[in-house]
Amino acid sequence: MKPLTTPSLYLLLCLGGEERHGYELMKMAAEVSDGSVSFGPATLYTTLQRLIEDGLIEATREETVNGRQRRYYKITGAGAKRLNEEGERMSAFVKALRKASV
Amino acid sequence: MSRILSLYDALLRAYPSPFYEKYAPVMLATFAETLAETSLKIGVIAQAFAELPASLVKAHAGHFFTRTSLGDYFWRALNVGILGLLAYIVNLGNSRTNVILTPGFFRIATNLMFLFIAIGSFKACRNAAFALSNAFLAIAGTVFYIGTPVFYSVSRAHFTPFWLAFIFVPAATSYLRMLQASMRREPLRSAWFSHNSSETPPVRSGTFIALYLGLACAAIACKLISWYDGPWYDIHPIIVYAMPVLARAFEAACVTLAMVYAYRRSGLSVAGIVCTIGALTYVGFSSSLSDLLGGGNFIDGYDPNLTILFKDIFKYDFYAQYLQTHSYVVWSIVVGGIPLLIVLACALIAARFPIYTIRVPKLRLLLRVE
Repeated sequence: MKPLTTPSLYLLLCLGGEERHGYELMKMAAEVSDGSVSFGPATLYTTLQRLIEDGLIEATREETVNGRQRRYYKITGAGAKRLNEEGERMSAFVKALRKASV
Repeated sequence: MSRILSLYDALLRAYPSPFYEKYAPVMLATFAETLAETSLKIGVIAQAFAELPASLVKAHAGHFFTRTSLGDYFWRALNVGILGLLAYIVNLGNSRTNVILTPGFFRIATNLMFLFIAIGSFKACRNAAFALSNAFLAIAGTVFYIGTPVFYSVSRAHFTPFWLAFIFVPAATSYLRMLQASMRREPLRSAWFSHNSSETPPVRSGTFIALYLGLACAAIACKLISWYDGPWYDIHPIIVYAMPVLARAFEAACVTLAMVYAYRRSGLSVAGIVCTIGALTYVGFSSSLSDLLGGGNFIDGYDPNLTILFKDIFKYDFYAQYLQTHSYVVWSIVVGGIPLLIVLACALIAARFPIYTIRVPKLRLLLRVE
């Protein structure tokens, strides 16, 4: 299985707890990555679309706030499983790295 | 601010229309919200516009290759077919080598076209239709070849599969899609022809080899029958016209099966792609050679260039006698079987030793069923 890209991984991570809309996801991704991951709208929505196509997230509902449309997304069972697998893969690598004392 | 948003909206229209309709309102809203709340407006604007080109390319590529429309695949098959036709026309000369090279190029193009069509059917119908469409193609090919009075005219004979591909395969596939939608249980559902997702059980080498050998034996048998015109005089037209088409259909099915197997086992590896292209090329040229040897042109001396070529290079007299007297079986296996065994070996090697798995998202999408 191909490892997830960094943007996909962060989006799954941000959707791990609850459903969120696009702007929230942008802010949260920047926050949890200490600013190393920064989405613009194009990257954000093309990545979200790919995750939907892969069945890892789903769009839940839409609402309009202050005249601006918001679409909410949540992680699916397959997405949560995949996130855990990626986490385990990375943990194993970190463990190996420490063991090798590089 | 509104001008920037208008400009951004104008640029978003360059996305494929389904993407634009679905995402443009939320993208604009997100952009507007970010702009309203940030203190680094120039940075946000620069980032939003700078990432558009790459995002547009990705969206267009994804849109093109994720469409399940059979039309896309037939269009691609047509392009390959046209290239083959050009190769054929460009090579129409009196050069001796062209008697093998020219139909060889054309046959490679035909095989590639079959491959695209098979993948198209696979994507469109997911399972049973893949196999059935190919079978239907073979049957349709038989009917058309029987109705084609000038088999020995290479150009006419080589045109036939193109018409078949564009008339019968879409019809068969559309019918099977309807049938599939109306069925509660799909009779030919299997790991081979189901979704290529994480839930799909892995394909087994044993199943692949059994399926493959079955198809290869059928191809060889068809070649053999097409060359054997002894006691079946009454049905001779069927044998002469239909069997080469069936053999070709089975060969194409073999190559497609091998490619699907290698892909399903190891993803898209360099080894898999190189082996498939190599095998396809080899099958193309060897089929061409087998037709020349067994299709009547050689023995009847129909093509003077061919006769000269074989007299000069391949010792015409010896092979002509050899071919006419005993060795239909030997030749069937040599020209029909060995290339297919090479394809089988390539697929197994590619599945076992993916030298380097490359990231080819377009091809992955091409092979994946949504």
